Amino acid sequence: MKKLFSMDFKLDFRILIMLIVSLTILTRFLYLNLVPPHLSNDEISIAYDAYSVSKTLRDGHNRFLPLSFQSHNTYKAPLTAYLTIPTISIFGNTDFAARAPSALLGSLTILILGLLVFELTKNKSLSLLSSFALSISPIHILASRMAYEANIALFFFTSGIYLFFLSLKKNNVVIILLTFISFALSLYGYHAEWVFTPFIIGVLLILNRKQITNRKLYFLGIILFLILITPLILDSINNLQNTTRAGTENILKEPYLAKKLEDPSFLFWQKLAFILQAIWEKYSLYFNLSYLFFTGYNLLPQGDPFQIGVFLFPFLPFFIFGIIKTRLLFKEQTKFIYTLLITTPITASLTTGPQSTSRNLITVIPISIICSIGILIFWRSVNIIWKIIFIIVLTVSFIFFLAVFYYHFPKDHAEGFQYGYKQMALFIKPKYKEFKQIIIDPRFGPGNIYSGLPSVYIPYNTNLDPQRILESKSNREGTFFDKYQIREISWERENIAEAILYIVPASNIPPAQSQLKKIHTITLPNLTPAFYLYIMEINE
Amino acid sequence: MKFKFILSTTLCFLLAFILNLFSHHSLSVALTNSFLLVLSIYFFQSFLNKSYYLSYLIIISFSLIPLFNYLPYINLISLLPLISLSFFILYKRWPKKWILIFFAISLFVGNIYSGEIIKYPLNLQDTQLIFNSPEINYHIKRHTEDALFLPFKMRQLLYSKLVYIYAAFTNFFDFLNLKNISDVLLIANIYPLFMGFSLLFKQEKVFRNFCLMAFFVTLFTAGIDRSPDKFQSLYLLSPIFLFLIILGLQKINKTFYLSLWVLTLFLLVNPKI
Repeated sequence: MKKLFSMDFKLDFRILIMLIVSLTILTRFLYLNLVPPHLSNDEISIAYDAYSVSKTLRDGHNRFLPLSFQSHNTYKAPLTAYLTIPTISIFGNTDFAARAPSALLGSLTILILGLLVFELTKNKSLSLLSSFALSISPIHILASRMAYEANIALFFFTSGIYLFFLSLKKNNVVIILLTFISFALSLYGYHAEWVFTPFIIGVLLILNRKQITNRKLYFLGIILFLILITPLILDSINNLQNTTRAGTENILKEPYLAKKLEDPSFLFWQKLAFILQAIWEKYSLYFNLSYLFFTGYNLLPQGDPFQIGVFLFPFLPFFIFGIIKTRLLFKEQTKFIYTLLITTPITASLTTGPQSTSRNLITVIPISIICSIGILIFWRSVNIIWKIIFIIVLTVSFIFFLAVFYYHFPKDHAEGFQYGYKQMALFIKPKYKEFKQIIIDPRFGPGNIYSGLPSVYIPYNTNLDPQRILESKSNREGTFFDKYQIREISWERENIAEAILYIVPASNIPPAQSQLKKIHTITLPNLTPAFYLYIMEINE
Repeated sequence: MKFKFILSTTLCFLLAFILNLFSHHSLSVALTNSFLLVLSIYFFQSFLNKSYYLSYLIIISFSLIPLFNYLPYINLISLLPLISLSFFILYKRWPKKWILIFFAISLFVGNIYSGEIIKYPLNLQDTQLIFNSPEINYHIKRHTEDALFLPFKMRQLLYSKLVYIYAAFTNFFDFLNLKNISDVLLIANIYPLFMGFSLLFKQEKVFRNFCLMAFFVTLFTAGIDRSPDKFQSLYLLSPIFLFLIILGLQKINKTFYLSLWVLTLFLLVNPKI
């Protein structure tokens, strides 16, 4: 028992490594297709684009090998979709295939973080603890279980930092070039990295300027980085009006701020002060300890006291303690860790909307490191009773998180993931030939306030030839492709005919005299009916 | 050096007094707030390393700290931070446990009065407390009925009223955010405050015990308050905050601190969003 808790024996490392590996695999891959309960609208658009590109070299909007993928009202960075092509080719059009690249790279991020911390401190215990902290971070678990662009970018960003520090020691041309390739790929991964990666490269170069001034290879690396991101820059310049999220999601569009900025009674300086105040408020939200350790991930409905944070709450004291003690373990790289911690929320603070975990995902790296510093120092300075108490509290909170994540979250949030469209597709697929037309009412949710994306979910899940989608027609009424019509159904105006499948939200029931027969019900995981499927009743 | 210190402290007192008077027109509160500020500066300077002297500009800048310009809902409450300071000085001289316990009790009582959990004289506002929240009770019941993967007894244990402790922590840490701290202490002072907090662990045990006790009691009272107000909840901690700021000022990067002051002044003179 003592050996297990001492952390200075080889056995401990093996146990810790085994623990981290099993936790990583279990939390990232177990029931990957079931939790979250359905592909979200962002995930399905990535998955569908990957499917479409794999078959036609064009995305769902008919663009040839695009560098930014149109998705509903916004545009996505390209890397996730391209990385999904191989998994879709191997596993088919499944939820697992859509999420597999993120799960894999998310798992590898844990490994890379451990290597990075080891490279910076040469402390095995600390590096394993950092990996451990990340492996059980609720936000990172969820990010790795979804086709999350931010998670893909995080892997390349962390790899870039690790390779940079490795290159300082090894002075190897391949490692230096890989550093900058990795950083460049992070820009292809997610839009938040467009700002943050160049900034961190600058920080790394400045903080380590003594070591790199005489090494020309780094300048070669920077040139390579610039060359690699040039297509991305050119693409965004060519499509300025639509591709850049910066144009649509920057903080200046925040309604309360925009109102003040438009008011001519305020002077330029006053407007500048308003902007700074708004950024500071946002920044403060991202550094809110309650958000980070108690409520950050809204896995449960708002107001539910059993909410979970970005990290599990037992990490909070270690985070505070770790901030104070960073210098003890990181020595000359302390400045870098602090810079990373302080600056990671800046990009997210420059955007609109409430706290966004995806825009701020990078923050899991410094927080994992800092929590692990606190844990390590605690572990070395307390007796076995405190260690056991810590393990019990952490285990209970983690098990509780698993209960929330695998049981309550799918039940409470299925509707938010547009649950039902995949189930619809699975019903249609074997009976496809029986219908001459399939009409889907895209509304859902309480009072049908939301409009879903069956036009993407159905083709992906039924393996419909993407060419049919490229030939689709959209107008004010809806979207029309193949034998599908995606439009609102108003029963009074509907001409009911034979062999037409009508799919409606549970609140849009046809009148009793309509001759329609309910042939299937799609229920949410909480057993509430979500959609009804009807066909015309034939009286023999 | 002594003359400069006296002069800057006097200026700080005058400025704090004028700002108080202008912002809330209460002579007695203006006097107690300004008096608290200069007394705190005087004692904390004497606690510090003898070779370190606060610059006169820094001393004057303390008068701008909003927490020292706050008007509590009854004037009597403005005396409570002075009691906190007195306990601090007392405990520094005689580091006895009973002083710390008395301080904790007085701070607790003071905080619940200041936070209007109990209204003067003895009117408990139980709706202000986080306990017995219908929303939390609803979710406990919901999960207990819903989590069928667990035996009923375990559900009762897992989804129990213990969640109120979790909710109190959630509430407190939500309240203790950078925005609220900057609203009561100004953005520029956050930097020395954090430095001071990290240096606290290298100081004499009396400082650490006293400050941590003060934070824990405030954490508790703000945590059980359904909607804690930043000024009401942190008012009694004002001398502790000033102590940490003064402590942290010894180790700051002056250029960075100055640039934070430029930003702070810029935001202070412009209207709030």
